[in-house]
Order: sequence, then structure tokens, then C-alpha cells
Amino acid sequence: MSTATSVLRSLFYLLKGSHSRSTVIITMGTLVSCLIVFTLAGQTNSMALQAFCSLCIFDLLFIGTALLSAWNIENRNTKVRQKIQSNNNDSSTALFIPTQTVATFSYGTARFEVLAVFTSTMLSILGAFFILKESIEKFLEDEPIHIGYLMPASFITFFMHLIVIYFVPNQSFDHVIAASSSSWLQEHVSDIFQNLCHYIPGLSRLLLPRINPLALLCWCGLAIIFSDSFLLTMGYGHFVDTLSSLLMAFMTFGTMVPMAVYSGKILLQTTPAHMIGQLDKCLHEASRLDGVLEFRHEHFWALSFGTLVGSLHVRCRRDADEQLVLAHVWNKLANVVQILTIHIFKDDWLRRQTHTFMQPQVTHHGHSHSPSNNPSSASAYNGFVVVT
Amino acid sequence: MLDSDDFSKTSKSRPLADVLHIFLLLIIIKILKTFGIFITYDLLKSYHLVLILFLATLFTSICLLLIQKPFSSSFRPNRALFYRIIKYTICLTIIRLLWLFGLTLCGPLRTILLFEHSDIVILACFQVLFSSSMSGQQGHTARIRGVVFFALAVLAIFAFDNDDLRQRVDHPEGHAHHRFFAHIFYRLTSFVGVADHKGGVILLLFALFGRCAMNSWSKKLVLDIGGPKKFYALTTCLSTVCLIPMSFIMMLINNLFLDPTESARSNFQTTLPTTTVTASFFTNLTALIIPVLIISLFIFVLDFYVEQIAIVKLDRIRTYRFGTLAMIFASLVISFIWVQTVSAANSNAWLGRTIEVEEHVLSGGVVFAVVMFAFATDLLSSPIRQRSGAFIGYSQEGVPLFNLTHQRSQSLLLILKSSLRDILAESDSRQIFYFLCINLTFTFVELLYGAWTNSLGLLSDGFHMLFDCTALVVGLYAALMARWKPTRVFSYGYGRVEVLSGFVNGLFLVVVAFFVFYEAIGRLFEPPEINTNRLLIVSVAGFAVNMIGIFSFSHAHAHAHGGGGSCAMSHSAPAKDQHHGHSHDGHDHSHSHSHGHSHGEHDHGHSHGSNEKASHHGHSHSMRDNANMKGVFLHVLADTLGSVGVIISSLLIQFFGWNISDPICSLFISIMIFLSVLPLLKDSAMTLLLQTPSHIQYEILDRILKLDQVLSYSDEHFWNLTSSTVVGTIHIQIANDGDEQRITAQVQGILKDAQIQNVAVQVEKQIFLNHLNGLNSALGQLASSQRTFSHR
Repeated sequence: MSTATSVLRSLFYLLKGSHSRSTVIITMGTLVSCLIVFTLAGQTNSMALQAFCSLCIFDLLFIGTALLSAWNIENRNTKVRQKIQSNNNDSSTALFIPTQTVATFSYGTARFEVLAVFTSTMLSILGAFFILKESIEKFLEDEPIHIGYLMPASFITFFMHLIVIYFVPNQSFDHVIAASSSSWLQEHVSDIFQNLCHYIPGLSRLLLPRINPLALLCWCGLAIIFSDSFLLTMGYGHFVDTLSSLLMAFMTFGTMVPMAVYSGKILLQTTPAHMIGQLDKCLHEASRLDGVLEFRHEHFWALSFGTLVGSLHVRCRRDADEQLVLAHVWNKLANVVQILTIHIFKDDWLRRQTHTFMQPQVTHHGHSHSPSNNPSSASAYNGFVVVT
Repeated sequence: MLDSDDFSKTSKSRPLADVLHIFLLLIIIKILKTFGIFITYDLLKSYHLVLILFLATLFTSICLLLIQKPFSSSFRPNRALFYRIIKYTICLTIIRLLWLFGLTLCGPLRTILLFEHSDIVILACFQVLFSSSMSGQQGHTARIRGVVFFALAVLAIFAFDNDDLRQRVDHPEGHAHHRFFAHIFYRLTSFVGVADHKGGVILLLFALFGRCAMNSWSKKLVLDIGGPKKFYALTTCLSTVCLIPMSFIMMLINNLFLDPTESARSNFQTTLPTTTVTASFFTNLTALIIPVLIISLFIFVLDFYVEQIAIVKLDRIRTYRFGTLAMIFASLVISFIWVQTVSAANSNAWLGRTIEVEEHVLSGGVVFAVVMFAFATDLLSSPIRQRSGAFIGYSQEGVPLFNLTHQRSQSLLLILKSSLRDILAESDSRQIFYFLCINLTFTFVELLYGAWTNSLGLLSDGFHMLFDCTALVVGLYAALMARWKPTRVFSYGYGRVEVLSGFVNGLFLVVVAFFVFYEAIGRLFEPPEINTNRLLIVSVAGFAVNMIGIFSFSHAHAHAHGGGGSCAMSHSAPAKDQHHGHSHDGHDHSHSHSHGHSHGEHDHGHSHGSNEKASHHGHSHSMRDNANMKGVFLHVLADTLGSVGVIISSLLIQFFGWNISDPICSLFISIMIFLSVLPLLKDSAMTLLLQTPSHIQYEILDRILKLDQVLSYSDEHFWNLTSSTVVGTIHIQIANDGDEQRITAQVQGILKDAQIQNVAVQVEKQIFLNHLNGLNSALGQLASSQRTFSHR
């Protein structure tokens, strides 16, 4: 409940703020155009238009995600400020008496963005799926289509969508679009453009860069609606409409699925594919450190876009200095993994303690890692101390 | 020519100047072949196709006998080989007959567009459609695009090519169709419900696929006979022999059956070249023989020889590619000219004849199809860039290394078998699977019955059921996936998939609720008339099926709690109560009540607070409280609600005539679905957001603090991995003389008591920070622990 109210409060804060006024205006515009467009779509009885207008609903979700990520950034800044302030205030008093309550989200609210992206992409996928089913049903029902509203509604959607995509700053979606794999639509378009650039090299600067998949979806949708209305005026009947709505739905699928997969993988606590190489290199280096025997339970997962969390169990040699090993392993990994927990353990450490009582010279050489300076007393090999 | 510059680009093996004459010859011959097909079409208007084919193959075989001499003394086939040749010949003849029949139905342009594709293109289509091993290779996207273009072109010819002139004919068996054979075909197509021309399209596609299959299967046969030329001559001769009895039978049938129509027709058509073969055979001998000669020369002889030469000189792919492209464009041009001349001729000579109706005009669909086919041929026949290994890395010398081992694809049957075994292994997936089977059976019965009785309501309801089944499939797949072993990327295992699938199912229901709401609002203003007579039966049947689902799923829940055999912890009655108090779905309980739990459970309410008093017990609720199963259950529940709504509203409409009751019911249902799905959404979202489970108390952390030599703790993170397992990490700061291993063990013990598995404890001393400073390392989140030590 408290999260809901805090979300609401931050939304209000954003609405009041001057820097987000354009976003507020765009939101209003989207809401109004959503209403208009859906009434028109209901009037025309055309599934293709409805499929295209569902972009408007996606726009609303997109703005919601943008607000959430803005709120998140705000949140982080204020939190840091509060922390500093609290440090200044009560540094004299006892600091670490656990008077505070357990934070409900111990990792902070960064993960909200991921969930928002996942939800909005998933909702539009499911909406496309629903439209698929609806259009088949409509095809069976065979109702007449009024062409008159087709073009105005689609133009409203088109402009609104472009405005939302290009004028609402949305960090999380920008990241996902940049990081996720290309959709089939993007791939085909870039393939076509590459072939085109073979013939007209001058266009390469214009056509070769990666196109924003959401804008691409919008353009293709507009083209489909155009041809749909053209064919409908030619008198080709429902079949065209059903076909174009199916095509729209598949395009929406194709655009949204890579983004949903990317954010869903983060939600499933997996290692991001692009980090694996770097991580492996670091782990390899760390495993060669003195005193480290092996790694177990390596869990590295993305907390949010660009933050990596890791936990690792390190089995170290029995005579190794734990704090030193910890510091070295930490040093290797901390550059890649932002939030890290390293659990150091030794095989039967209880026995070593009894051992140290009998043989104090082992602990005496505590910091020297190789027992070579006193080979007669003890030589550690693979965790076993051989007493001579 | 459009192709030539393209050609010069691709020809790397041979320079253009060497093969230019062959290339031009090929193009010319292909144009001549196109011309021949147009002549054939004109001939087919007046003569029977078997007769035409017979005569053409007869001339061809005479030519080939003279050139090739296939029955020379060296050729002595044994019995098995002879049978294979006979089989091939019969197939060939059938396919040619189909082709000619399609020609009569579709006209020459469409026939060329559909039939004159090389085997390479068709095989590439099938390869793209049915093999997944190619995915990821360079050029695969181009192939997919080619297949899509091909499909679009066929679709354009099939559906968007309304040569309106033809469809106006009430009985499209024009003057050329007055045959027994054509009549049967006409009856067949009208029974299926496609027009005559569309039937021809289907026929031609059949012929095309048949030809491809035949050619690819007969490759060994060709070698056994001794070269394609000899083979061609032999099969052509044999097919002539095959056609002799057929053409005689056809002649007889035509004489027997068609005399009355012929006499009736001759009343008003006198200038028509009469088609009864016996009557006109001798009079029109010259008019028949010369075109047939041209046909056999153009289509069957010259084309074959030039193609053989071109295959040798150019290569195979290029030959087929340019041959097909040349034919497609030539046919477009010729048909354009042809239609104009024929219509001029019509207006001059054959006034009032049905031939105007018969003529296949150019339409937008056909032009579109021509463009699409050209693209598809170009894309599909371009050689694929082979990249037969996966890039691994670089060797020590800096040479790139490739992995050449391919993923072996398992057979479909094996995959099905193993996945079925996996599904049946555990109760969750078994439940979903059985219910899915019931649901699918019901759906297909409904769809079949709907198609049979031609009822739209049933059909659309069937589609709706099919749509609902996808949620079950998602749930089933997630339940299967949750059991996979952890991998490098999924280091915590796949358990979270179930939570995610529960979330997705929840979103699915939200979408459903939204659309139902939207439609209901639309209907509220203008309630439509609803025909209720069959609706009631269907909805009652759907209700019954869904009730089975509800009972089985709730049964499973009750067993899981009561049985406890699979639970690691055996808490008795209070734990169970805890579970039901914590669960959010009221309907869920109403069924599990019937399995012998106490009825006081509802007093616990739906609050989280109730289980905070006993953290240990609070955990046990989640042993089987699976988000995935809950999502599936809610979906089934929503369906049931839908059926109930339909039953109520149709009853109201039937007895009181309240048409408005339908949208009102839908409104209520959508709101109920939405409200019931909210708790599930919230729960799974909180798990996905790594919310600290509510039973982790300060009391536990206090116990850690009270341990010997522990100064403080920081970075305490605990979260539900799945609904049943809690994992966590914690950093602990200790005094310099403390023993790390002892404290680690103690902390682990404390956390184990709190049902937290898989803990990582990092124990830090002041020395650690000193070391880090010495190493000049990044501190990460260590600021707080640094503060601990600095304030001491």
C-alpha cells in the first residue's frame, strides 16, 4: 500500500514540476486521442484500425514507464542526499543499532523500471494476440466496414505515437531498445536497405543506422492501413481488413517480443549475455589468486538495466588469510559487479583450530602464504595440513 | 534487359562474353515457350486436353526418337528399372494433364506464374518452412522474405485476382468445359466452395509440388537410364503410349455424352469451330496440326534441349533463375498484347460468343503477383552464403576458430515422447495437461460441429476457447521449465519462470477484462439482437468443462496441503490454516473447503498481517502456493464466470427479452475478473521485484548482532526466489580478533532456522578495508561498512 501511495505522490510531484510539463501535456494529448481514436475505431468496425490504434494504449504505457523511471532517478538522488544528511546529523549517536525497519525493497526501486518495461511490452503482445483472435471472429461474422473514419483515426494515432516516442524522455525504454536484439521487422528492413545501398551508396548515411523499432512499427502500420483503405475502396471486402489486422498483430509481436525477452530475462535473475565474457575473464583471474582453491555457487544477475549483482562462495586454503583473499577477490570483481557478496569458507575449519592450539607456529606464519620458510613444521596441500 | 546487368554482376565463374549467346538463346527459347503456352490455351478452347497432350507428345516423341534414339541396342533395362520408369511416366502424364487442365481453368498467364517455377525455388521454400537448423545463418532473412513474397503472390492470384468478367457466368463451364471430367471438377469445386478459377490455382499448385517431388525422387533413376536426355526421350515416348488408350476413351465419352448439348448449341452458333472430335477432326486438320507442331516444338523439345545446354554452360541456379524471370515477364507482356488482339478479334469475328467471358483479363492482383514472384524467385534462388561453423574465439596465433559441430536436431516423435514423460512426472503439470486435453477436445468438437452446421456463433466461440487454451499452454510450459537444471546464465535455476508465467497470465486476464469491458461499453449504447437458441447449450457445455477444471485444480491444492508428503516441513493444522488465510482468492477456498478443512479460515481474512505473528509458520504457506498454478486457475475461473454470465444473460433474454442484460453481464464479469486477478498480479510482481519476504524479522538480525564479536551488519538482502525458496546475502563486520569461519557458521545457522536457503555471508574486518585501500580497489557498496570501522 505504501508503495502505491508513494508512486502516486511522486506522480503528483512530477505533474507539478516544471521540467516535466511537456510530458504532462503529451499525456493529456495521448489520453484525448486515445478516446477519439477508439470511438472512431468502434464506429468503423475495422479490425485493422483497432490493431493500429492499440499503439495509443502502448503510448500510455510508454509514458507511464517514462514517469516511473524519472521518479526512480529522483528517488535515488533524494535518497543519497538523505543519507548524507543523516550522516551529518547523528554521527555522534550510536549508528548501527537496528532501529529502522527492514526496507521492503532491499535493492532499491531500480527494478521497478524493468517490471514496467516488461509489463508494457507484454500487455501489447497480449493485446496483439487478442486482436488476432478478434479479427478471425470478425471475419466469420462478416459485418460491413465504414471507410470514412479510417484515415483520420490512423493519422491521429500516427502523429501521437511519433510525438510520444520522440519527445518523452524515457531512459529505460531507450536502454532496452539499444540492448535487446533486433526484431524481425528491423532485420528485414535493414536487409532491404543494405541491398538498396549497394545500388545507391549515397543513402547509406540515411538508411544504415539502426531504426527505432517503435517508430518503424508505426510507419509500417500506417502503410498497411493505407493499402487497406485503398483496397477497401476498390471493393475487395473483409478479407483485406482481416489480413491487414493479422499483419499488424504479427508486426506488434515481432517488435515487442525482443524487448519483452530482454526485460523478462532480467526479471528471471539471469546473467546478461553481453556481460558473460567480461565476467568469465574476471573470475578466471580471481581463481588464480593465491590461496583461492575454487569457486562455488557463482550467482551473477542483473538487478536492473546496467547494474550487476553477484554472490560467490570461495573455498580457500586452510592457512590462507581470509581477509586478504577477500580483498583480492573483491578487487578483481568489484569493477564489473556493482553489488557483491563474497562468502569465504574453508574445509573443516574446526579441526584447524584444534590444530593451531597444538601447533602455534602455523598461525605464527599467518600472513605468509607459502609455508616454504618453515617446511619442516607443516606443509599445506589442498587444504590438508601435513604435520611432520 | 533488366536481368543482364544483374547477371554480369553474379557471373564470376565465367565472364559474360563467353556465355552471352547461351544466355540470349535461353531467354529467346523461354519467350517462345511462353508463346507456345498461349497457343495451347487457344487450342484448348476448341479441343480436348487429352487429345492435345496426346498429339503434342506424339510429335515430341517422334522428334526425340530421331534425335536421341533411346531404344538403341545398348539399352536393355531390367525388370525393376522398367517398373520404375513406368511409374515415373504415369506420374509425369498425370501431372501434365493436371497442368493442362489448370491451363484451361486459369488462363496462360496465371498458369505460367504458378507452374513455371524451378525446383530450386520450391525446395528452398520448403527448407525455410520446415527446417530450423538454418536460422541464424547469413541470408536466412532474405530467404524468409522470399517465402513470404511467394506466399503473397499465390494469395494475390488466389484471392485478389477477381477477373469480374468470369465470375458473372452463372455456370462457368463455357463452351470448352462441356466435358464429363470438367463437369465433375466443377461440381467438386462448387461443393468445396471455391470458384472455378481458384480451383485451377489449387490444381496448378498441386501439379507444381508433384513435379518437384517427382524430379527430386527420380534423380537416381535418371542416372540409371543414362543421362537426362535419354531419360527424357524414353519417358516422353512411354507417356505417348500411356495416352493412347486414354485419348480413345475420351473420344468415346465425348461422343456418347455430349451430342445433345452440341445439337442444342449449334442452333445459335454456327461459325464456332465445333468441338466434337469425330465431326471436325478431318475438316480442321490443318488448323489443329500446325499449332500442335508448334507447341510440341516450343514447349517440349526446344525448351528441354536449350535448358540442358544452359545448365552445362551457365550453372544450374542461374539457368533456372533467368529462365523463370524471363518467362514471368514475357508472359505478362504477351498476355497484355494477347488480350487486346483477342478482344479485337472477338468484336470482329465472333460476335455474341461466350469467348469474351472466357478471356482472363489482367487485374491488379495479377500484376502484383508478377512483381512478387519476380522478387521471390530472385531471393530464393540466390545462393545462400554458407557459414558452416559457429565462431568460438581466436587461437593463440590469432587465427579465428570455428565450431563445426552442428546441433543435431532430434526427431519430433522423440521430443514429444520425452516431453510427455516430463509432463506426467509431476502433479501440477499433469493437472494442467489433462485439463488442456479436455478443453481442446471440447473446442474441436465445437469447431467441427460449428463448421458442419455452418453456425458462426459456435465457430467464434470455438476460437475463443482456443484462445483461452493458450493460457493453459503457457502455464504448462512454465511448469515444465521450472524443473530444468540451473545453467550458467540461469544460475538460480528456472524456478522463477513459474512466477513470471503467473504474472503473464495475470496480465493476460487484465487484457481479456479490458476488451470485454470495451465491447460491453460499445454494446451498452446499442444492444444487438442476440439469437439465443444454441447459445445456451454451448455455454452450459463450456460451463461443465470449466467446472471440471476448477474441481481438479482445487482438488490438487487441497491434496498438496493435506498430503504434505512432498513438503519438506510437516506442519499440521495451524500451518494449513495459515495458508488459507494468506491466499487471496476467495473462490479458491470455497472449493477446498469441501475437502475437509475447518471453516474458520475466512476469519483470517486476506491480509498479510495475519501471518506476521509466526514467521516460521508463515513460510509454510508458500510450499505449494505456486503463482503459475494460481494464474491457470484464475484463467479457468474467468472462463467459468464468462459461461455463467452467458447462461444468465441468455436466460434473461429468452424469458424477458432484456437485450441489455448481455452487456451488463459482461461489465460485471470483466470487473470481477479484474478484481480477482489483482492479488495474483501484486504477489508475483512483488516476488519479481525482490521484495523482502514479510517473515524476515528484525529479531533474526538482532540475533546476529548479539553474536560474539559482531560489530554490525550491512547489505542485508533477502528475497523469495520462487514461492517456496528464500535466498539472501549479508555482509557482517566483526572485530579484528574474531574468527571468520566460526561467525560464518553461526550466522548460517541462524538464517537456516529462519528458512533461508542459499546464503552468502561476507565477513569483513578492519584489515579488509586496509587491504582494499592498499590495492586501490573499487569499494562498491562498502561505504557503510567503512563507516562502521571508522566510527569505532
